[in-house]
Parts: sequence; C-alpha cells; structure tokens
Amino acid sequence: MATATKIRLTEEEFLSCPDWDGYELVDGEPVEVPMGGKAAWLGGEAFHHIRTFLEHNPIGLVFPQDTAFKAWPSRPNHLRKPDTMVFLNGRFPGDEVPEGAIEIPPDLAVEVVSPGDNARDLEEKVAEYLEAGVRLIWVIYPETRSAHVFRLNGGALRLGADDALSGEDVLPGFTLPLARLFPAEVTR
Amino acid sequence: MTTATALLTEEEFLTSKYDGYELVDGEPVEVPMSRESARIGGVVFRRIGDHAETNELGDAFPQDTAFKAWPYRPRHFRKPDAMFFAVGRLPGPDAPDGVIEIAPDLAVEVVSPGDNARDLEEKVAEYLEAGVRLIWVIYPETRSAYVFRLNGGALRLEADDALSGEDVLPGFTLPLEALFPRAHEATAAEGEPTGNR
Repeated sequence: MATATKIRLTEEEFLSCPDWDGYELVDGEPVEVPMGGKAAWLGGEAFHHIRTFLEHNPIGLVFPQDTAFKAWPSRPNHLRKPDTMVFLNGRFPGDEVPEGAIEIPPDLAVEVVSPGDNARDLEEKVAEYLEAGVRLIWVIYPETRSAHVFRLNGGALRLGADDALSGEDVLPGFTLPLARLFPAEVTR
Repeated sequence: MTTATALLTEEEFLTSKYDGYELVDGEPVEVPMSRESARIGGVVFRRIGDHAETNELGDAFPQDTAFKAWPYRPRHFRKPDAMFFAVGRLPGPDAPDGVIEIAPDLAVEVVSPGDNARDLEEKVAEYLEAGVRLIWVIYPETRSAYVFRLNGGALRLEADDALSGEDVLPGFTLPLEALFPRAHEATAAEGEPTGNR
C-alpha cells in the first residue's frame, strides 16, 4: 500500500475501510504498525488475561488489537491503536460502546514491542497516551522479557522477568507475572 | 569454507577504525548518531564532568568510550553517550592504560531518530545487569527522559522536569530544557532535513 505520494485520510475514510487494519492514522497519514508474530500473540495473551479477570470482576471492557481511539482535540485525524485497551464502566456516554470511533482515552493501554519498532516513535506514543489522559500504560518487551510501566501521575517502573504487571488502581487485584505472559524459555 | 561476519578481537575493536561502533559479542555494530543527539550527549558530558571535577566526585567520559562488564561475554563492549565513574573505582592514572572493565556508575543514552526500541531496552537491561546504578535515556523529539535505577525504580521526566544525580552524583541537577532547543526552534526543525541553518 506504499505509494510515492503521501495518502491523506479523514477519520471516516480511515475507519470505514478494512485496508487500514494494521495502520494508525497520524495527523491524517496512515502509518503501518508492523507487528511480529510474537508481539501479536503476546498482545492476544494480555487481552485474554485481562478479559478473564474482567469476567470475574465486571468493572470494565477490554478491546483487542486494531481498535482505534482518538483523544487529541487539536488533532482531528489522529487515531492510535494500542495492542490492548481497557475502558472502565461509566466511561462511555450512556455506558454504551460507541458504534463508531472511540473518542475517549482508555484507562489502560498496552503496547507490545515488535522487533522493528522505532524507539522514538514508541516514546511519542507513550507521551501522547499520557497527554490524552491514559491512567496506566504497559510497554512489553518480549526479547528482554521486561516491561515498562507508566502512570498518569508521573510514576514509572521497569519490570524484569521475575516481576509482575499490576492493575494498580485501574484494575484493582489484577496481577500478571511476566513469567506467565512470556513463553517458557526452551534454550539453555 | 563459509565465512560468516568477521568477529573482532578486543584489540582489533579498540582502534579508531571502530569509532561509532559497539562490539556485540564480537560483531561490530554501528551506532548511528544524529547531529542533535551528538550535541545533547556532549552537553550532558560537559555538565556531569564539570560537576564531578568541581566536587571531586569522579570522572566523566564522552561518546565513543567503551566499557565491558559481562564476564561471560568477553567480546562485548558498549559505548554509552556519556559515562561517569565515582572516585576510586577506576585504576589511577599511573596504572597501565587499558580497557575499562567495570560498569559505570551513571550511563547516559541519547536516542537518535533511527534507534530501535528493542535494541535500546536491551542496552538498558545489560547496563542494569552489569551493575550501572543510574541510567538516563534522553528522547530529544518528545523532550522527555527515562530514568532507570539499579534498585528497580524508574521515572519518566518531561521538559519541565530535571535530571537528578541522586546518590550517584550528589548535588547534580540538569533541567531538561537546558538540553533541548526552545519550543519554536524545535518546531522549525521538525520538517524535512534542510541542512545547516
């Protein structure tokens, strides 16, 4: 889908065409977010663990990969797609999942780093999420079996393979040891 | 006989020919650095160097100084954009000149536009494993920085925050806005590369 001239899309064009699965809309320009197999699988695992938790603790909804949200009033054609998102009950107008674009920031956003991801672009996403008001961000690094945690209140953490992701005050009681998320190491 | 990528020995690597490279398990890997990242790395080096000298805290080293501190990886060298070693940790000036074989107390990385996210986190993980007490990762584009501590703590700083030397460089403070051009200059520099102003 790469062409010589830059494609510009409106939000409606971007959200109505399945061709843009796997893309984000960065100020009107579709930008591919290449996802390796491992990152896609781990995004699904994170979704599954959160979904299971929410089944027993129905305090919100979890969305999988390729769900877009926008929450930057000054950037109308700017949509991001975290690998997993959680919206707590009461956040959506009328407590109904919108038919169209999600126009509020999630309470929790999860990013799984793929081998080709650019460091600057990733930090730009974290900065945008915090600016939009995302309360908790997990950035998961499969290769190093580590994770970075960012909080809206300014706190941060780096977790190693023996640590666990915590839902903190967003998903109280949720814990996911990284060892459970990552596949067992088979190499010696 | 097939020859894979030529692996280098320590002696081969530590020549000027491999300025701008790190040695990753024997393989030279280029660490491309943008002009802006190089400039910021230089500023941080000067500031920590001045503070360390004035207060007799230790020694700072600029870009392209290599260290190794992974005993089971003999041909593995990293080159943080700036390093600081507390007084007494490095052999004195009379000792024979050689490779730095201990981890710095402070390591600074300035992110360039082409840097890979996974490679960067791998460096952070290696630095912590080697025993680096304090790590600053500076992101010029977002005017932000990450701080990682050996004890597990971390911070994300924004443009109006300041880097602190904490217990590694006591008394040292560096506001991030001292590293980045003022906002309107940053905006002007965001477009296509236009060469020198």
